[in-house]
Amino acid sequence: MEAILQVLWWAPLPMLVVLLGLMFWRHSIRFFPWFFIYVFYTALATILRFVLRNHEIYPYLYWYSDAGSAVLGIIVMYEVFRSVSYKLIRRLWVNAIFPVTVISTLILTFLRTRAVDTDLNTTMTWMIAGQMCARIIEVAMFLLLLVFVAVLGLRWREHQFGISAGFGIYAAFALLASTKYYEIGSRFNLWWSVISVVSYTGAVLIWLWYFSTPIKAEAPSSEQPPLSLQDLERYKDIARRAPRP
Amino acid sequence: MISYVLWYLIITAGFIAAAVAIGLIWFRFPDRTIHDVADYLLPIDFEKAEGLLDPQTEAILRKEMTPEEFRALQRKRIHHYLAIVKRMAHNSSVLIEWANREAETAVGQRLEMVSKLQQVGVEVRLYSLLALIKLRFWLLIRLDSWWILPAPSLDDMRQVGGVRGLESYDRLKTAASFLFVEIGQGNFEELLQNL
Repeated sequence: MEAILQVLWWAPLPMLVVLLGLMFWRHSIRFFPWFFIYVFYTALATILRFVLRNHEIYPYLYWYSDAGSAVLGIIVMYEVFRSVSYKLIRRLWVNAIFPVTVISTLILTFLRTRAVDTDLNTTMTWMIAGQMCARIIEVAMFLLLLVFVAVLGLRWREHQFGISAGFGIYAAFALLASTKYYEIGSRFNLWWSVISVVSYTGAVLIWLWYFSTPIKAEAPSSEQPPLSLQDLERYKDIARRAPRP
Repeated sequence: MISYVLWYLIITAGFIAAAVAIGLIWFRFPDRTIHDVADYLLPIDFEKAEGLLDPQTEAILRKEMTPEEFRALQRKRIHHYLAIVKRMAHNSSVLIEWANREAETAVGQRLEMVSKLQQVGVEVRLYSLLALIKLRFWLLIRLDSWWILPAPSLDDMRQVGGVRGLESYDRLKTAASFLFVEIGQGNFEELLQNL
């Protein structure tokens, strides 16, 4: 059991390295720079954790690096949201969605964590609460992008959807695990680890699948008024006269 | 208590979303090409839509009918416009799917046309979905039969969520026609007839 857990625990590391390589190779960095930073940071943090896994500072390293990862996760969600909203709906009110989600999440996390008695110390309480807050934002963004796919016709093969699906699915599992860990305390440690690491492996696999295909450059969007039906008639005539292979 | 319910609701929503995403991918229309567009569109009578939103027609009806008669008729007119908006939502969805498919292979000028179609398609879809919500809300609370508030005016439906519905749909028709002609393999007349 211990050996399986160890394999599961460190399995995302080689996958993250492959993902970094894919992002380099496919030139995906210029489209999602913050996601690249996130993957790079997580890979680096996992290497450090692996090297110092038997050292006494390991718990601190784990939780502080996890906090950094949660913050970067929120930035990545914003990057994804900006990219999708700019592409789909260029309306002023759309820009308010992300800040409203973040503020609502902060309030909800505050209310939720205050309502629960836990045996964790203050620092850990804040760490777990912050992590849960980031997960809620990730789930909310996944829901939003799913709405964009179902309602507004965003392609499910778009990398933005892939990033948020990975985060969202991982976040739903991790959130459940973190909530139980917060409520039950350190007795839930083993299950918390298993759920977190298996769902994170699933998320990395989703990202690997999405980033195995190149990102297609968007056509420059013109702000010119659309062509009229008279233009269309002219165009139709030209198209009819032009020889086709 | 509320925070507890909300918290678990969000977690549940995350799991449901994952299942919905799988369902959407599984049941999606496979590869909508130019040959799978015209047959799937639902024709829209644009003149009737314009007539329903015309403020002058509505003013005449208000003037020449008793308030009871006008409220009863207005409810029917809301249902009529609802049927038109549903068709707009369906057609824009078909055209977005087609544009998404074309975007995978298009380059240069064709890619620009595809992007335009995607952009206007999303606008129409946004309008129609917000308009559907608004119209259904009117029907739900039976605003037409309330004596305290005036009967709703369909002229309000011209612009919803910052999008001018009929103008956007007209642009969608133009953008779809351009791409149709550019690809040049489908029945153009059938497309125009069904849009």
